[in-house]
Amino acid sequence: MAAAVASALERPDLITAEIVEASENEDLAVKYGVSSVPHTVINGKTVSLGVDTQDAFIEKILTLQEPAAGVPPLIREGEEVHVDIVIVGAGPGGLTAAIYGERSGLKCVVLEKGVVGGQVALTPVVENYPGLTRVAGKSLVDLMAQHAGQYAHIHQGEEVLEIKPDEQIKVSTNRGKYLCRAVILATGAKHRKLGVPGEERLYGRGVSYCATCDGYFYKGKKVIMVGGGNSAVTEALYLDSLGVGVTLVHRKDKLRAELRLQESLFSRKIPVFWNSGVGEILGDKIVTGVRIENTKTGKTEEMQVDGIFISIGYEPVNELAKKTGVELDEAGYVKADRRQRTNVPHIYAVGDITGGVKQIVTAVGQGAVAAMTAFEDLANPYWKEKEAVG
Amino acid sequence: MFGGKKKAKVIQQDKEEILKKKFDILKKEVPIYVFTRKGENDPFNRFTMALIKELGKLTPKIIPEFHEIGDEVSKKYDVSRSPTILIDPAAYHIRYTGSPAGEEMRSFLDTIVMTSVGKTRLSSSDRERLTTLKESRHIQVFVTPT
Repeated sequence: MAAAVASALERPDLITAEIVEASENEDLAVKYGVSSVPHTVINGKTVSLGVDTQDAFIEKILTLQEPAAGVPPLIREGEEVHVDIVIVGAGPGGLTAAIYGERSGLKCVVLEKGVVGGQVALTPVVENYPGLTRVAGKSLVDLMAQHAGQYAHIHQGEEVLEIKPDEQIKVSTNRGKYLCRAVILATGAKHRKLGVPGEERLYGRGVSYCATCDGYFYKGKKVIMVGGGNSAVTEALYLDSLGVGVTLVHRKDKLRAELRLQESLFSRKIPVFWNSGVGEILGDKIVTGVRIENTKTGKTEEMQVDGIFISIGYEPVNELAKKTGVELDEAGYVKADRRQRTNVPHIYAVGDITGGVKQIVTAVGQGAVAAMTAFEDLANPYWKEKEAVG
Repeated sequence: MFGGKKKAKVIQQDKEEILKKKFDILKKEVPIYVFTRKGENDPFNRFTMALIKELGKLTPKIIPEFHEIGDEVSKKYDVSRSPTILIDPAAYHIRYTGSPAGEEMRSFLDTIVMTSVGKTRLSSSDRERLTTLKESRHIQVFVTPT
């Protein structure tokens, strides 16, 4: 949205920007088939469902099409940028590492292939971040990004393609090359999909992984929330408070969510389908129902719903770590020691990519530890000491 | 003191100070036109009018103007939905169809700042690419307050 307004300011002769509050203008939302936000229409044509990077958005203004692979470089092609630390990922862990790294006197750059904030940006309300009793996830990451941005450059839409570990580490991106002395991997985790028929086809048309973003469209309607952990229960409570008729669907006979959240769920009398999974998502152009399977009896039944929200955990975003030769655990998360070091010298990992409890506070803590360890290691390479002793 | 009930403000007192600071950097005056029609989205009309009025009191650089849909100005700018906000309509084509509530408030305030300061957050390469545009574009971004 900021890019839309900025474009209208840059080209007042040709560009008009209109921000439409969907719930106050339901007829317009229906006309353009809006069922998730942000939803962008240019010259009457839907060009994106979701948040775009600035480069991709400008490309859509120019071409009215989805951008082709590869965006123009921010840094000159062929140019090699020298920094001390390249941080891959701009979630809470990566942003904190940038603050600590720069404050130690190390030049850092944060490269984010998507948008700043990671999973937190999609969290409706955060209530367990010390000092802030209740804060919207998006507001919290905005504050962190503003803070980190005072120290380091944060490049959105820049994807790291390859890391070549050496005395001087070479990091290649879709925009150029960086030569650095350390890399902090903060690539996070992504939503796990159900992998059932209808899920891909009806994404953005009734299938959602973000109650914060899309819950509003289901006010007075009927939806299911699939999952049994903290995120699923938090989001079910959020949907209920918006006036959405939500039913929780969980594969087991008890929830994994914190007791306090479970108490809220039961006291609000939100129905739960126990021992149940989703076998298929039904609908032609939009979701009209789901096929629920009982995991014990195998019995299936169809349920009419207007939407399905999925919150069944996360998968590590580990392709880059794998390519770099970083050791992973059996679940695919990066193995890091208590100083956030991986098995590859001068490559560290923080946040959700390292598995564990996946909390904002732990990611932030690990970001600080990684930057401080990198600072020490750059001064006194620990593996060289080992070699000397050995 | 007179026993009358004081109307609640849209912008809380502690936020007023933060906003005053944010508006310190404003340069150019930014006229903000609010258009409403009674009976259509009334609670949002009230919120939007109060918000713009209060913003106008925080800095002399924000110049609020209030119009009823159907008047000459609304016809001039082709406004038919209530509430609608236009930012500096003599110079730009930036429209909020609906109230900038909740999470949208932050980007609305950023819009005011960018308009006044005359500087956007686009990178220099994106600004350059926009200069190549030859045809008109009407961008609509659908949002909700969350």
